[in-house]
Order: sequence, then structure tokens, then C-alpha cells
Amino acid sequence: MNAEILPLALYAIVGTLLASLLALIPALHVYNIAGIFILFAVSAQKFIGGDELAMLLLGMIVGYAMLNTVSAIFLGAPDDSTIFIVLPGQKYLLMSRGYEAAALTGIGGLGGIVILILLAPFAETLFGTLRAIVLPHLHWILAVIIVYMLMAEWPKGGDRGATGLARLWDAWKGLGAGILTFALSGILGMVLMYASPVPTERAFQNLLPAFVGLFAVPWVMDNILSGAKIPPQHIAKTFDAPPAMIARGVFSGALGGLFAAFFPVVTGGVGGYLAGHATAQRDDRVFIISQGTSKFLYYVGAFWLFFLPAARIVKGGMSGMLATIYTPAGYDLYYVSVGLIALCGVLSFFLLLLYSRAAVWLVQKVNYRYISIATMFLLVALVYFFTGVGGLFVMLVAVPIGWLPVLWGSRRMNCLGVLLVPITLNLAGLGPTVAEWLRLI
Amino acid sequence: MKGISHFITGVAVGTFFPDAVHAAVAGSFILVLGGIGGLLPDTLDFKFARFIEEPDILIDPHPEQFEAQKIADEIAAGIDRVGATHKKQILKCNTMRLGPDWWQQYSIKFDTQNGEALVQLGPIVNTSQIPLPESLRVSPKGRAKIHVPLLPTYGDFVTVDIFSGPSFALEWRNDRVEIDFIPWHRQYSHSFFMALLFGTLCGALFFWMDHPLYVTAGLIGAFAVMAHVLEDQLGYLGSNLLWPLTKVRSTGMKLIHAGDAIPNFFVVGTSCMLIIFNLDRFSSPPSLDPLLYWGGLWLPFPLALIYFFVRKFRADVLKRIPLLAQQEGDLVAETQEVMDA
Repeated sequence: MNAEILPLALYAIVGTLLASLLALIPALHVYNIAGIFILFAVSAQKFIGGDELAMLLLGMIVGYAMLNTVSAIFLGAPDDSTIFIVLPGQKYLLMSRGYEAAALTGIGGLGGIVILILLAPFAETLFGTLRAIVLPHLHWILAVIIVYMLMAEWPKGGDRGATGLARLWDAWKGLGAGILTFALSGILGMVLMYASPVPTERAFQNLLPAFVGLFAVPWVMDNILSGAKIPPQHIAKTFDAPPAMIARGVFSGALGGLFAAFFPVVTGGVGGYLAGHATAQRDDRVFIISQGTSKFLYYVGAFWLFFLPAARIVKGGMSGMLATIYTPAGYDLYYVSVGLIALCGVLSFFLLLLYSRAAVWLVQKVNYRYISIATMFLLVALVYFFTGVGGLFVMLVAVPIGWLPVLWGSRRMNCLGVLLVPITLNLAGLGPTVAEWLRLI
Repeated sequence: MKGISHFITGVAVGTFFPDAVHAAVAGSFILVLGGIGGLLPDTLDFKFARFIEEPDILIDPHPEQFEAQKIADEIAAGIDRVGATHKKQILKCNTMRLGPDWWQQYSIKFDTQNGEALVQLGPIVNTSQIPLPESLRVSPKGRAKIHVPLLPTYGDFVTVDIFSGPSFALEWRNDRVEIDFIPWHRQYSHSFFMALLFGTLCGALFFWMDHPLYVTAGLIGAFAVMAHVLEDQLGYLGSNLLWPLTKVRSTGMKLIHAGDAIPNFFVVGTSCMLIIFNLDRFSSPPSLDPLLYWGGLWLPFPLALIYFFVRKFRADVLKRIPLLAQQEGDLVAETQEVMDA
């Protein structure tokens, strides 16, 4: 095996370098490219073996998990897993500390690597047993997460009003918008699952236009309309985060990230949000570090679970696609994958610092409104390239839904109904019935 | 306790019912009732009760014309009025919003030792309460004499900044004015009556849906609310347990504050472990070894809790903060948690 590690490591490094470039393109998900890679690999199996392809994808996902922060913070174009980083990230950007915010997520990601290494010897027993216990219960556990998301959104208004009813109405406007956002995005998710206008041959890109419309476009439009001006940025040489704070962030993010890596549909952002509540976070720096850890473990952890020799857990888009053509074998490959996650993770961290400096240069040299307009064109072009006119239509439907939280000040997380609703209903066996009610089948 | 702790405790309560766990395996969502019940008391308070409360004294300052002395005078006059008439007054302090993410902070303090109301302008803060650098204006502080005796209360400045501001009940009690922070919280919603009512509603709903587990649904709903109410008794301020028979919030067991990280983490962790253990226990064949599970995996949680209590009791001995102050401080922290959520 030792002689085989070097080529595998090279594939992983190539994957990381490739993903590091892709991660800079706003809203372009690593899964979009990985899907194309896997289709390519099927027809080119004599050129690239299964293990090599797996390590290439591993490197890609590590690079992407660490570096997608750059477009989220500096371009304000988040996806489902970086949506929680954008708000504190852009706040830091407006306080001249964008570089620091990006670096803090990277520190969180490095913490995630340490967690994976520490867990590696026990992961099979831990996750294998847990999966056997919770597998029949996934539908109601997801429903519990949905209920908590909706119930734990508290009113942000209601101060003024002549009567109690007027104040109640003022308070409930935002809450109602949150519930409406969740319901509408849930219906959109059902449409995409049962009657998607995205062509069948591009079905693996089905969610791309919805995510772009729900998360990225409203934020970028907001930046264009508000004409946000970015102040001169400071490249910090040290970080205002003592070790205890980093430990708290990593611990909290690890809980959330591993939860998200293990449970279907739960994204890194949601996992981090739940863990943040559970560990009583209040500091922005702890929050950003924890989101960095959570995001890293969500993407990388889910793929890493695929390599567990006996338990082999297929969770997440990457392992789901790869599992159709490849089965990893043995403990050697498992531990090689852990080692390469560490290697590629450290490499990605330094790339993150480098790219963040480049992004700082860009936002200082070019008017931010022009950057946002260019980002918007790029988003539309990507959706058209990957999903055609049907995808553009989905995106246009998703944009007003994603705009609701911006207008009413409710949580953007409610847009995750697009994933949570259809999957929860399907796991409970109710998906087809509800689709029938909606006249989708 | 924080919202997630109550919520997950409610879910854990539901998993103690084997028939509910079996129904869940078959596709039922009955266990979700536990979560709903677990968060219901705070939902009623923070989403309904706080907005229905009618203030008698409304502090509604303008950021451009902030007069700390005028506000202090209004507060002191309101307290004096309670002393003179012995009639309860509700004091509400509105926030000052400057933009989508910016708020002008001010703070008030009830100095019960010197009999004064103090008001001061703070910095401009964003919605995460991070001050905008150099936004603190020089502005005269307000200080007004209160002419009636006051019961000891929360002694620090209470900041009024984001979203909805705090309210206070000013009430004549034992020949002194008591300043009761956030009076709409932990009243009827945190009572045995509410547990009974929610349990009955859950049972009735399942009965109406022709679900055979309507009794179990009722019990899950009732016990989940009860779990919330009982968890709140661990703090400095209990709740109005016997509403509508009683009108006063009881004193809690004074073990923890609502926002303490370690006790909250203990509750969330233990609840999660209970859920997994119960799901395993009621499936066949169970795969978890109870000795290893509780004796090994769970061990970090009680150890962390012991560490917390050792530190807390050492700190308590040194500080000797009056009970009322601790209770009101707990309420301030709990409201803040809801704001941050």
C-alpha cells in the first residue's frame, strides 16, 4: 500500500488545487463539477482507477469545504452551507476585517481536521451503531429539526402600536414571513422532486438553480441595490481569538458538523446553528470559527464516512454519486483518506489565506457594486450552463422566495424548506400523497 | 434554560413511551409533540404575552433628542406614584432603531441602595450588539431621586438596544416598591394548568384524527410542558406554578442561571443520549450496553456539571448577590437569549 500512497496523494492534491479555483466562482458547488467528473470517469475507467478517482474527489471536497468561504464573505454569494457565514462575514468586511473573518473560518476548518483524526479509530463503531438505531426514525427527527427552526425564530418587532393587537401584528409580520418562506420553499422542493423543469439528463444539478435563487441572488441583489461601500481592509497578522475561544468554536462546530455529516438533508449551517444554541455561543468570533468547523465536517465528514470499511455510510452528494460506480475497500484506504484529508486541509488553509488577500485586493480596487453585478451575471450564466432554460425558470421562481427574508427581516435559513420538506415527507412515506395533493403526479 | 434545552428535553420525554417509539418507526410524527410542548411556555410568552401587555409608563426616546434626565425623572415619578397610590404600574422602555442593522443603545439602573433611577446614553450598536467604533456620544447622564423605599433588585445597568425593549412591573409589596423585571414572563404559561391544557389538546387532536395513541399523545404533551416548567425551577426565579390559584412567581432552587453554558449543554447532551438510548431500548434487539453507555460515554456531562457547580458555589460565596437581583438578572439573560436566537 505504501508505494500506492504517493499517486493517491498527488490525485488528492490535484483535486484540492482544482477545487480551490472552482470554489472562487460564486454558487458553483463542487458537486456540480464532481458529477461531470464521475460521468467522465465512467467512460475513462482505463485511465483513472476507482481509488484514484475517489482521492481526486476527496481532495476536491476538502478544498471546496475550506475555500468556499471566500466567495461567501467577499462576494456575498452564499449557498446552503455558507448562508450562516455571510452575515457575520459581511459585517466583518464592513468593519475592515474581511480577511480576519475568512481566516477564522479556516482555523475552524483546521479544527475540523483535528476532530476527524481523533475520531478516526472509533468512527466505525460510533457511527455504525448510531446509524442502526436512528435509521427507522429519520423522518420524525427531521420534523423535530423543522419544528425547532420555526418555533425558535423570535419576533423582531412589536415595540410600537397603540393596542396589543397592533403590536402583535407588528411582531408577527416577520414570523409570518418566515413561516411563508419555509412553506413556499418546501413546495418548490416538492416540485423539483416530482416535476422538475430541469431536463432529466441534468437531474444531478436539480437543486443548483433553486439554491442560487434562494440564497445567492437575493444577497447579491441586496448588495447591488444598497450600493454597499467596502472600507479599506486590514490584513491582520495575528487573530483576536485566544485558544479557549478557538476550542469552544471548534467543539461547537464539530458537534454541528458531525450531526450534519451523518443526518440526511441537515446542512453544515443548520448543524452549526443547532450546536451553537446547545453550547450557548454569544461571540461572533466563536460563531465564525464554529461555522468553519461545521461546514468543513459537513462536506468532508460526510465523504469520509463513505470510507468506513464495515459501516460505509453513503451520505451527501459526493459519496452518493461515487457510490454508483465505486466501492472503497479496507482499512488501509480508510486511514490513507484520513491522512490525505489532513494534508489537503492544511494546503487549503494556506490557499484560503492567499485567496483572501487576493479578494481583499479586488474589493478595494473595484467598486463593490460592479463586483456584485458581475457576480450576478456569473450566477445566471452558471444556472443556464448547467440546467438550461428550465433551470433559469426555477431560479426565477426561487428568487422572490429567497427575497422574503430580506424584506421582512426573518431568517434566511427558512429557505432550507426546499430540502427539508420533500425529504422529510418522503422518509415518512407521505411524499407521493402530498405530491398528489399538489397535482404534481 | 435556553430554548433548545427545553425543546430537546420535551423530545426526550416522549421517547419514554414505548408505544410512541413503535408508532414513530411506523411513520408517525407523535414524538414531535414533545418538542412542541417543550418550547410552548416560552413561545406563549415571547410571541404573544409580551405584546399584549399594556404599559402605563412608556419611555419612547428619540435618538436625536435623547434627554437622560427627563427619562430618569419619568421613571422616578412612576415609582413614587406606586408608593403613593399602591397601584401597580407597568413601565416599558422602547428601543431606538437607526437603520436596518443599527440601534442607539441606552441603559437604565435602579439604584435601590441610594434610592435613585439612573439613565445614560450608550454607543450605537448593530443587531449583534457590537458597538460601532467611536459612536459613543458625550451626553449628560440622568439621575432622579426616588422618594419611596425600594426592594433590592438587579443592581447593574440594564441595556435597552435591539428589537423590543424590556418592561418592568412596579408594585407595592411589604411597604416597599418592588421592581419586577419582565412581568409577562413565567406566569400562566409556566404552570401546571398549561401542562394539563396542552396535554388535553394533544389528546383531543389525536382522538379527532382517530389515532389509537391519543392518551399517549396527551401524556407526551403534558409531560413535555411540565419538564419545561420543572427545569425553570432550577434557576433563581421559578414560575407561577399554580396559576390561576396564585399570582406570584415562586423562587427557584437557585442552582443555575438561564444562560449558563455548561448546565444547558448537560441538559442537551443528556437528552440526546436519553433519546438514543430509548430508541434502542424499544427496538429489538437492543444494541447498546447500558453500563458502557452511561458509565463511559455519558460521563463527561456530569463531570462538566460538577466542575460548574464547584466554580459557581465558590463564586457565590465571594459575591453574596441578593436573591431578587439574581432573579431579575436571570430574566434579563433569558430575554437576551431570545433576542440572540
